[in-house]
Amino acid sequence: MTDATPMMVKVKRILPATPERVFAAWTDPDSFKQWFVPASVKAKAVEIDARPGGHLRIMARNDEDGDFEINGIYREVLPPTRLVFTWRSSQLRRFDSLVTVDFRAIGNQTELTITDEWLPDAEVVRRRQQGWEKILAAMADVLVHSGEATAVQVTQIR
Amino acid sequence: MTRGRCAWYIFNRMVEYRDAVLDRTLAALADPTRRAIIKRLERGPARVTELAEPFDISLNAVSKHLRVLERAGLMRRSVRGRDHYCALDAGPMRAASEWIEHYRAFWEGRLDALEQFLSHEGQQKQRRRR
Repeated sequence: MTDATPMMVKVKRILPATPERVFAAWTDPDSFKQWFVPASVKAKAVEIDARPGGHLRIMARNDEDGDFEINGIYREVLPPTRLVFTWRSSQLRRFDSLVTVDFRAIGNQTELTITDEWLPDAEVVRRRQQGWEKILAAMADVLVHSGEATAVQVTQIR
Repeated sequence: MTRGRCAWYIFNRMVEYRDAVLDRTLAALADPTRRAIIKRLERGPARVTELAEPFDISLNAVSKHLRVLERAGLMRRSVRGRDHYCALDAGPMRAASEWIEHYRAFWEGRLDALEQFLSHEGQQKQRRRR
C-alpha cells in the first residue's frame, strides 16, 4: 500500500526508554491508563489482558459526548518487540481496526511504530463467509452423494 | 488545550463526520481493487476497458467495482461519442482523507502522552536512585 492509500495510518516516534519499559507502558493496566486516557476524559474502566485472545477494554466518559467504549482483542503479544490488537470504538460502528505496535531498540531508546489498518467491513466478511459456506455445503452434497465423504467442515474465515 | 487532549476530543467528535455518505465512501475504499481504480482515476478520466486492463479479473467484475464507486459518489460516468468515460469525484475523497487525518492526530496525540509518561517515569526512577 502506498501513502496515498487511505486505509492505513502509520505514526512513528523515538521514545526515551528501552523497549522493555515502553512495552510495559502498553501492557501494564496502571501504566497504560496513565498515558492513554487523558485527564479530560473520565476513564470508568480500563481492562487490559495482554495475551493472545485477551481483551482490551476502555470505558470512558466525557461531559460533552457522554459514554463511549473501545473494545479490542490482542492477537500478538511478543515482549518487547510487537503488540497487535483489534480495535473498535462504540461510536465508529462499522470499521474494526487492526493496530500493530512495533518496538525497536536504538541504544537506550525505542523507535515505536503504530500502524492502524482498517479491517474489511464486518458485513462484507460475513457475506463472503456465507458465500464460502454455500459453496462448501454444495460440495458436501456432491461428495456425500458420490459416497466420497461423510462430512465437510466449514471453518471460520476469521 | 494540549495536543493529547485535543486528539481525544477529535476522536470523540469523529462520530460527527461519520454520516451515511462517508460510511459509503469508506466501505467503497475498503477494497484494494477499488483503491487501485481510484489511484488510476487520480491521473484523469479513463474508459472502462482501460481501467480493467491492469487487473486479472473479468470486465464484469470491474463493472461491479465501478458501480460501487459510483454509488459512493466517488466516480462519475460520461459519454463521449461511443466511449463511456469514468472520472473521479474528489468531494467524498476529501472528506474521507480528512477523517483519516483525524485518526492520525489521535495516534500522534497518544504518542505525545506516552513520551511524557516515559520521561516522567524515568525522572522518578532517577530520583529514587539518589
